[in-house]
Amino acid sequence: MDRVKLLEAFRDFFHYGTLDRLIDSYAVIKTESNTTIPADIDWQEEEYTFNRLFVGPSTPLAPAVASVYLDPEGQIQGKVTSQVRDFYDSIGLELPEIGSEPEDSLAYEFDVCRYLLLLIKEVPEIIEAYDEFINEHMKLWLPQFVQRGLENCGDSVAIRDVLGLINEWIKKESEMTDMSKELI
Amino acid sequence: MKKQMAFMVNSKKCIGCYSCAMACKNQYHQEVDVVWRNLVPLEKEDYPHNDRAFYSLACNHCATPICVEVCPVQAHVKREKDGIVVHSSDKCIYCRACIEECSYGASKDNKVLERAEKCSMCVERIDAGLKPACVQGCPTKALTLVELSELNDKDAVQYPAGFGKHTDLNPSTRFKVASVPELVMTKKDS
Amino acid sequence: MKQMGRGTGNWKRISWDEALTEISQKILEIKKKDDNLLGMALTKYSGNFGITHYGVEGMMSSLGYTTRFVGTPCWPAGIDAQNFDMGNMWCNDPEDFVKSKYIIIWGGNPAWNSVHTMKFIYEAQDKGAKVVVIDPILTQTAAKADVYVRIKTSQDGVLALGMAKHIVDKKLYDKEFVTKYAKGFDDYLNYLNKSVTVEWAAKESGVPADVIRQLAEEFAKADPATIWAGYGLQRHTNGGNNVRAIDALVAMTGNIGKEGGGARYGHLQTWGFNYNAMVQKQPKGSKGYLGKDIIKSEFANDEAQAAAYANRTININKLAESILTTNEPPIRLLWVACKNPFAQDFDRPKLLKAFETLEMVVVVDQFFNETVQNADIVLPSTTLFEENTVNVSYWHYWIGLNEKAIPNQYEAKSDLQIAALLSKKINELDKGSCTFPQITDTQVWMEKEFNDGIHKFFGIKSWKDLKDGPRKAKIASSASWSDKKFGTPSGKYEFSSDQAEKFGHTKLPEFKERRKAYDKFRVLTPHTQFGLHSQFVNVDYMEDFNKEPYVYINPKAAKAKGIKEGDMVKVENKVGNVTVKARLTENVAVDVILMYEAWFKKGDFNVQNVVDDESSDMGTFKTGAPGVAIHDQFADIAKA
Repeated sequence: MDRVKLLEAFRDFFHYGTLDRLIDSYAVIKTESNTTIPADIDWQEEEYTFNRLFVGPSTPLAPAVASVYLDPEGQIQGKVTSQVRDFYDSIGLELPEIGSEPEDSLAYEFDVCRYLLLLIKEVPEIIEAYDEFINEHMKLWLPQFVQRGLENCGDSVAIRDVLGLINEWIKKESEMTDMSKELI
Repeated sequence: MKKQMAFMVNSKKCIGCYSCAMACKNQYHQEVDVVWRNLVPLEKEDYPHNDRAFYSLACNHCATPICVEVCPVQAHVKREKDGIVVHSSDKCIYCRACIEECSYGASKDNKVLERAEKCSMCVERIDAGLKPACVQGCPTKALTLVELSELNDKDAVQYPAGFGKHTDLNPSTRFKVASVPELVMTKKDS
Repeated sequence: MKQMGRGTGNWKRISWDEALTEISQKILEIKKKDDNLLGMALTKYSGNFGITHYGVEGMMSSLGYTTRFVGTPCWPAGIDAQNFDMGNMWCNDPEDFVKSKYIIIWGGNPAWNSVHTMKFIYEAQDKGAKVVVIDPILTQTAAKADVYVRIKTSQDGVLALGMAKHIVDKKLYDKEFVTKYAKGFDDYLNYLNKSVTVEWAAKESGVPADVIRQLAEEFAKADPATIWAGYGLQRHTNGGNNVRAIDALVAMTGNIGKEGGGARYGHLQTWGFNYNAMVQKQPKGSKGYLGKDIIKSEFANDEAQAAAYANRTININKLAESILTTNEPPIRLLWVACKNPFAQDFDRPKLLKAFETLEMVVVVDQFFNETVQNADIVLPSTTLFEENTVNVSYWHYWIGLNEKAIPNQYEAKSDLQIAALLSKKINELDKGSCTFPQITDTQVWMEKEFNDGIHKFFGIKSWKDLKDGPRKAKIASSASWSDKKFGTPSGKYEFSSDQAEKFGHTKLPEFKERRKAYDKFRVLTPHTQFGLHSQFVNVDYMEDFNKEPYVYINPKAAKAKGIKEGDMVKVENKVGNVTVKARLTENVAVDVILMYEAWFKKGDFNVQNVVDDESSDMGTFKTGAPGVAIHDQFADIAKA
């Protein structure tokens, strides 16, 4: 399993929201998590469900934004977004336009994890930033997000599967970072 | 007489727009269903027309506030300088005594954060020389702030119809009652 | 996003490029098939009256000659009425209510729908003015009045005639005004003497004769006295006539042209912008409608029309009917902007059927409403927080900038940005298909709306002065028509109007029978307190205090029907039905039911299920199409 590739695939799954990207990234997710793709996926329905859950145009049933789960009023572009923005800033990253899309959108957060993992190879101390982001941020909202997604995803096979894999991923990452902390 | 800041609720001018209640929500972003200030339509026996006269009600900043008396941790304090009853929710231990004892129901139960809450007349705004959010938000000046020792208004009443008469508390809020138009009514439209 | 089957809720995410390509291809296909672009239609109204939003009309023109839904569902009958009488719709500055001694608020509910005016009314009251509210509903404004008169709905003109007759009987009219500044008063006087009695007016309007006499005398004797004619009283098959009769009352008492007086309805004095975004040229070689349709809009100037061809105009209030019946060519592509037709347009069941016949529906909106549910492609539009524009009023005399406060959220774009992108795309596919300029900065568009006239009128050097705050127009008098020079053909106030006759009405504001009841209860669907038509009711903090819709029923009527407070009630008529919770109130008469028009994001409440598209009497003269008899609706009720 390639942790970076898996993160890339998670990112792409949520970032583009088009059918071809969903299919492609799902395939990578499955390969990198050493599981096999179920045969009976109705991709057309998966796409509609994906949009109902995460995109719109009706109110998304399980928005993929941390603020929705962490802000007391579920307000985006508030304190939570700004904390995540500050974190990105501390590691030298920023979105091209501030204030348009919230920095705590799931795809960006996956991308930041991916970036940090790559960086760890060069700068081992960066593990602390990764650890902080996983344990003090992502771990706090992903389980709620996954649960809301699972509750609303109906007969979906692929989305249900990906949500489950995200849940596993966050558990594992948080355990691993705990271990690495002990090592340090 | 000691200084006592008080809300003046002019029901005669109130148009029931809820701006006061919304301004309060906008200022403090309370939990859903926790409402410090609300607009209460008068019952039929107190005003003859449905939903056409209102009292904008929050904490009455009483002369002898029961909340101050029952609070075991002094989370409620009546300020010496202006009589405002200030509640510090960070001190609150959620014993619910004030919620149960306040005859006006001014102390609210925040079940989510497990604490009592109430209107403190926007003390932080008042201390900064501003009006409380609700007063500022009123588009018809129906809700204003007065200082009771200086109030000299023969139309101001303490216990209008439809507002509980709890003389032991001696609430500071004053009211002007809504008037009723002279009616000329066709019985049928057809 | 694109919906795979209207109403299915199955949406695909497509890029702006893909969406505009698909729309462009459809436009080009229509042009090829029909040899013109009349199959593309626009319906747009008051979702955003920022001046730059006329760029949507500009976008249509820049593509060619198209079909436009014209007119207004709001206030056209009254606009025509005031134009027949005075040559313009032009009200006093509302701030000058404080100078009034006698105020009649007639068919309007400012305590809910013009909250900012109430403080001036109160000030007048505090100074001793008498306030009378005339309305079929005991509104919040009525509760604030000195006298509330519940009139039979739509019999406002009759009451005004009765009052006029009494004023004539008592010789209380202003002789100088009616002789020097008016045309046709003698004819009006003859009509009143011949055809009107106070007793007859009392019987027709439900207002007792002695009250009519008292109101008339008080109004005539007070100086100044004013009437605020609300939009409610003209949403009738005799609505324009109602306004004309009221105008006449104000005129004959010499209150027009007077500070603190006036027949107040609205004004467009502050709308002298360039309409730069709106005025776009059709591409070379465009073909259109061979008729001589001229687009009229109450706000913007008439669009210049090329001699040979024109746009095809259709009554905005007959959207459903027109989609179903328009031919050669039929309407194939409907573009919806600044409007939620499923919440606001009449006869919703028919509209559902009509949408089925459309080949493509494009909706530009901010929220997922029922119109979006019935779209093929929805383009997310920015809110007022994400763009620059400039706003004025049709009531007060101020101007204000709307400044961009936040970046465009996600992929949302303003109407102007969408127009520029569409232009770019369609020109890529077929060069020369669109003339809309490539400007995407909303501030640039906003700047282009200003001119010397606007600068002078508001006492500013440039739009930048408005950054310090809104400005009020420099008006010589707070009264309209203060020089008594009217805009009519005679230059006088016209009690008798030849123009009215030309448009099929009586010359004089004569009695006109109201619409006949077609069911048991009259249905009134006026404006809600918590929003503006379909907008804002869905905002969270509004929902906190306005959780659900109701039908208001008189307790006596409810009892007869076995309906109790809180019961679910089915309101049904020939158009359709609505099921909604009952509230019992004596604020309405025994044979009237009331529901506030609003779009709730939860549930399927929609008053347009019981409102048909019957036209009001006036509106064609100045807005291009008659209005709608929104308050001439009837239905029966039953426990659901």
